[in-house]
Amino acid sequence: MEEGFLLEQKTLEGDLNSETSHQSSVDFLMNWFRKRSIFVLAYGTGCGAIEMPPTFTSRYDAERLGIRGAATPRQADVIIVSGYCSYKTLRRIIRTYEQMSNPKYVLALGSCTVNGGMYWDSYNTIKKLEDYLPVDMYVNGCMPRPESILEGFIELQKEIGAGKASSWQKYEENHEFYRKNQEAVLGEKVEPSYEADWYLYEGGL
Amino acid sequence: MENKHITIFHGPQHPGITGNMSVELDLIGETIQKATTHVGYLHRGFEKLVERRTVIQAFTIVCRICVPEPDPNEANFAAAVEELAGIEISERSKYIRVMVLELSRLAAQFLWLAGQSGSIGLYAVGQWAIADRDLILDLFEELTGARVYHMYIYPGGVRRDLPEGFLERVSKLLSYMKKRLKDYDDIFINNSSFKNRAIGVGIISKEEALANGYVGQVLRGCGIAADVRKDAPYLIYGDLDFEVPTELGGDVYARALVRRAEMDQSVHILEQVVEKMPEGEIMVKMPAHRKFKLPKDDTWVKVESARGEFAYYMAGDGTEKIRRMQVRGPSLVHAYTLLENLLVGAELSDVALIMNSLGICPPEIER
Amino acid sequence: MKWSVDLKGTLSPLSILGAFFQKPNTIAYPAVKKESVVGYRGFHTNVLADCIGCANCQDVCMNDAIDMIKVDAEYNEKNSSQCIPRIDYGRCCWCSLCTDVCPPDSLKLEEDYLNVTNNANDFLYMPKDK
Repeated sequence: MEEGFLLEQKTLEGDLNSETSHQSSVDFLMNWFRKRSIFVLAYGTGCGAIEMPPTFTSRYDAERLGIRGAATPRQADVIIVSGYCSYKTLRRIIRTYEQMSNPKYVLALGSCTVNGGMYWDSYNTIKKLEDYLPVDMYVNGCMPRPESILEGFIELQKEIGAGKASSWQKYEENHEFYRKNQEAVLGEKVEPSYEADWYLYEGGL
Repeated sequence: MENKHITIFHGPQHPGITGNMSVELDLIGETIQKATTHVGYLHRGFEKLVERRTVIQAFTIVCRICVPEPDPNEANFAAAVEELAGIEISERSKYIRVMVLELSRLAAQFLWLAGQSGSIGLYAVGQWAIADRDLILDLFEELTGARVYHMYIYPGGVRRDLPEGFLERVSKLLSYMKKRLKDYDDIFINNSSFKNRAIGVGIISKEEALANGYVGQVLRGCGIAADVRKDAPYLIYGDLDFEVPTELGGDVYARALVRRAEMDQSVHILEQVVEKMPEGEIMVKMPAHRKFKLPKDDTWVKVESARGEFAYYMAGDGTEKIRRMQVRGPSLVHAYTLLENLLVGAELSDVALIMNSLGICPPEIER
Repeated sequence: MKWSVDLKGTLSPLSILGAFFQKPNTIAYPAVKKESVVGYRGFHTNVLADCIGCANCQDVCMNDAIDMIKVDAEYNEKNSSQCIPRIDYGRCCWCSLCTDVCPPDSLKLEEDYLNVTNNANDFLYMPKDK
């Protein structure tokens, strides 16, 4: 039985499983506000970071859609995984993802996140991002153009507005599956696990 | 009360860092006592990946070694293969290659402008610079079929011929650039906020630069006129008329002045190339990709990229695969030796400024 | 770092205010779309009446992105293997080497490039027949 802060958190997150629930008017209003103001974490993880400056500056101007950059993961909504991930970067991406607060989304750019891309036989990159992090939207290309990235954001906004973008819940529910894949690839350097109820069950503040 | 000694990561997830690398800083207050560079976040194993591909298959992967400026890699690879196999390319393809390389250099200098002005908070200059760079990428899209990874400079020539009216569009862009670059002088180079931040910061002496093997604008900002296009001319650079700008300060401002002067020189070179473009074939007939064998020999080629000297070593062994390819980018020494020495005694707010002025690009450090 | 009076350096950046009176150069996607460029490397197209199923494209692709599969369609009668290429866009890097080595010149690249989806299995693409 949750109480206090945990109960408030659960009420705010709601039950966003699209098949079994429809949105109440409060959920609809919250999602409408969320999709109009997306903060993107400032992290260029791979090749695709070269097409992010044109998207966020004056020529293609993502700020018309309410999208702007945030420097810290505590205030960001979206993390863009722009291309391939080496094992060293994957550890930092997982740590940053777990530091973001819910609701949070992952946008995967390029063909390297889908099936390995150009580095499919490399010894130091991961082949499928979905084994390690839950992905909300894939954008096709090598590198995706600014128009493709904007189209990816528009589709993500539609999913948020309909209440279907619930990958962070998938991460919490299937945490063992993701954790097992991360340990298989990172070995003993895997990050300590972030549970939301540490302060109740592990001795508190 | 004394200031505490703390260690922070100016880390991979940071808006003030040029790419995916990190610098670990030991601070007392705001002054840096010791800096350690950590790279390796982008290692893909290029030199191993190339060994299992044939030569023509490997040409498509090479351009991804340096992300902001892919064309010097393609030119180096093509030059190495042509030297090993003994292929002579036509005049027209040499002129087209020089045009592509100079346009790519201009685009990379615009990217530097955006980074350098963003590091001190003048974000409007960055908006202008990225928008102007996009006009150059439009030209690339028309010529090669893609904005960033062109895969155009092929061993044996170039892949496609110039479209109708392309040279007129290049000339129009160049006359626009000549007017526009003077605007950048007003808002950035002569800006008193930039001068107050940049003069006297990150000083490198001439002896240190020569002793440690620094290249590019780091060397030219200390007063030494070294440029591969003049010292060991490749393609048609021996016939073109241009200068190598130098400054004597050795600090961030001197390197910025050198880069600004090089943008003018690139526009000047492009005007000459557009005027003198000859007619002819663009591609030498090459055998099928499984029958193209490299002789048992090795070679070393280099070009001048926007950040400095870029070199390749390539060795063949008589089969259709490359035996060994080694890539030496300009950022290797700058990111380790130079950065760790320059940051000692600097302030925390100057880290982004110094990193941008050295032109550090992490993908080519660890390939 | 001494401060000195620098009138030119303080007043000349104000010329940026002239940008207020210029037309913005924003391409307001999705309301305004940039015109597509001839020769852009986008999705693959394959003319089935010309394709002879020789698998040269599968041989040259270094990312193993092309699979030759049998589908229910009208083949060229010279297609002896009865297979046509299918591209995996989770591997393709749009280098267009496959279009360079195609003997009857049936595999080409068109200018369309948009594909945004939340399911990774949607990336196995059958080239259109045009």
